[in-house]
Amino acid sequence: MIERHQIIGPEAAVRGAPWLAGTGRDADVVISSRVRLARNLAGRAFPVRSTLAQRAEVLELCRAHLMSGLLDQPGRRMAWCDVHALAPLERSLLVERHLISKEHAKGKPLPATVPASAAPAGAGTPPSAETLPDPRAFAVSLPDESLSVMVNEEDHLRIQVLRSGLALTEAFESADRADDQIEGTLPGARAAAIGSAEPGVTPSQAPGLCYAFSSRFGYLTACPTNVGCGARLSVMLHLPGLRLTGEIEKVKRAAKDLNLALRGYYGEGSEATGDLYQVSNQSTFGRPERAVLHEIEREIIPDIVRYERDARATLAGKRRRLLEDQVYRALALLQSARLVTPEEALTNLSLVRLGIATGLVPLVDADVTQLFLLTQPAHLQRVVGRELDQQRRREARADLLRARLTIQ
Amino acid sequence: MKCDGCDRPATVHNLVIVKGHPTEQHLCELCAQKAGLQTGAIPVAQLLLHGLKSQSAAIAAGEPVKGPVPAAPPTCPRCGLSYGQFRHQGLLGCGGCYEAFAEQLGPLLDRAHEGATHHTGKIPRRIVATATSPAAGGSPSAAPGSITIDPADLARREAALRKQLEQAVAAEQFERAACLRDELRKLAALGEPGGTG
Repeated sequence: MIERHQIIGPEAAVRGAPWLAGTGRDADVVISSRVRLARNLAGRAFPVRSTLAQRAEVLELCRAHLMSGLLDQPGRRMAWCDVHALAPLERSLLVERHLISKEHAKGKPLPATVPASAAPAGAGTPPSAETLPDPRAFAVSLPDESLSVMVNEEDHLRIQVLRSGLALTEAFESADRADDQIEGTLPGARAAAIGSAEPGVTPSQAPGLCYAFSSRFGYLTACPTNVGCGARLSVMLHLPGLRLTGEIEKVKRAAKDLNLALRGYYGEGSEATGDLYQVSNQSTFGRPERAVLHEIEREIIPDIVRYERDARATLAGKRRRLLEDQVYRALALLQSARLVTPEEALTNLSLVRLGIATGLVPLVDADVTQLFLLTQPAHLQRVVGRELDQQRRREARADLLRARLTIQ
Repeated sequence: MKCDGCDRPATVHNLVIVKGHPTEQHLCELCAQKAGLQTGAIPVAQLLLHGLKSQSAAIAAGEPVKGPVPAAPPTCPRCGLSYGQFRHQGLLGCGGCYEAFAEQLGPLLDRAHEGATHHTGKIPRRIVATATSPAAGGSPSAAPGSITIDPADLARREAALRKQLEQAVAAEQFERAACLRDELRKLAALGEPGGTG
């Protein structure tokens, strides 16, 4: 097995995440699209009810299958990583990058004497129960990071696809294909190997996986709120215009009418730090995936995008002084401050981004959008190249922002 | 389901009628308290179990019990999880729990998924392959772990899809209606052995 203690290399980390590249449709308002499918293996207890040995068995089964080459494509191959082999900072980096969930990142790192790839029953003194790592891992496609599969999170498998801009259909089709590839065909079918496989795994020995499914309840998940399609479709939006014109509530009502949730991406309650919001389906049961997809991508999101653009036009027209004041204050703060908290960074970057969209600030949108990520704690430390305490992080954040927001 | 205001699970469900328009609120304890709502509200799952418990307690005390005597809360025969344990941790233990707790899960799913009773989305490929294989003829014994589709479920699936199709057409969402028609076509193919999966 290839051990990976740093899944995202320093250059990739510093460049930012591909899904923040601002290359997708409606990227001025829609930051990114995400599809997540929850699946469990048939005939096995879900992770919460499994023993350590059972989870280890599921992990090995999934590893052999996911790393057999069936998900590799030209220019992209899957990398496998046991969560417990990663340092806490590396795990935070992956959470910030949306490749694994916060829950998946929890769990104790290995004690120094136990090799990363050891099964619990290794040579010599077996580790005690307290030091046995919880079997959890993930596979991620590199270098594009568009597909990630978590193993032994709340469900055995969580397949996720991320795309920049409004690309929910493409993300869904990609996740759907990966789901079919992971499942294979009938049991005993040989998975076709496209690229090179991990050493020790012969593609022809990798059969398909059987999913837990019921014709009444659909794909069976640990939490009943995910049962059915097991599909969570979500879109991240940047809505500073609607906040400044006081119209966010209008958007929330429109979303609710279609049983879609509109929530602040960072921060709780109605406050959305950085004016970042997420629209996602509440229900996964009773409706086909493509109908829900259509509702989000073709019915609600175009309306929200239009509302936001109208709000920005109003601000740039009738309320120009307010817009300029907000944008130039934010820019001035980030260009001058010597200590910046993560919240201040997001709040002010949001206004700078609005300034770019309304023609007030001559900076590149994608560069500023990546700063939403690079100013977060783990990414910041990776940019600087060492671990920093909170005070040093505030200094480093301020330095990074001044460097990146200087207008030539 | 998640709280309207944050990412915690929603345990307080409130129906507000403003100018004749009903609006549902789903909040966690904290947000409900902030909103000034009474938070002694008991989660739906607990309400169901409470009814069972109070009757069981009455039986144990030798009191006469009105109405039918309920069975003890079920336990999943495959993983041993009890319904009470599920209520406490919010997560099921295995696929078998869905059948074991089918009766209790019904109302929960109804609330969480807008009254849906049947899955109408994707079916795993191997099940489609089994169902449409001319050789197998839809036989459930084709492979270990494979499940066939109950014809009654197929019928309910079709009924649910037709209803959604009518709603989409009524709402003039013709593209969404087209998606639903595609699903109905796939369903028709599934019902015929040897048809395309």
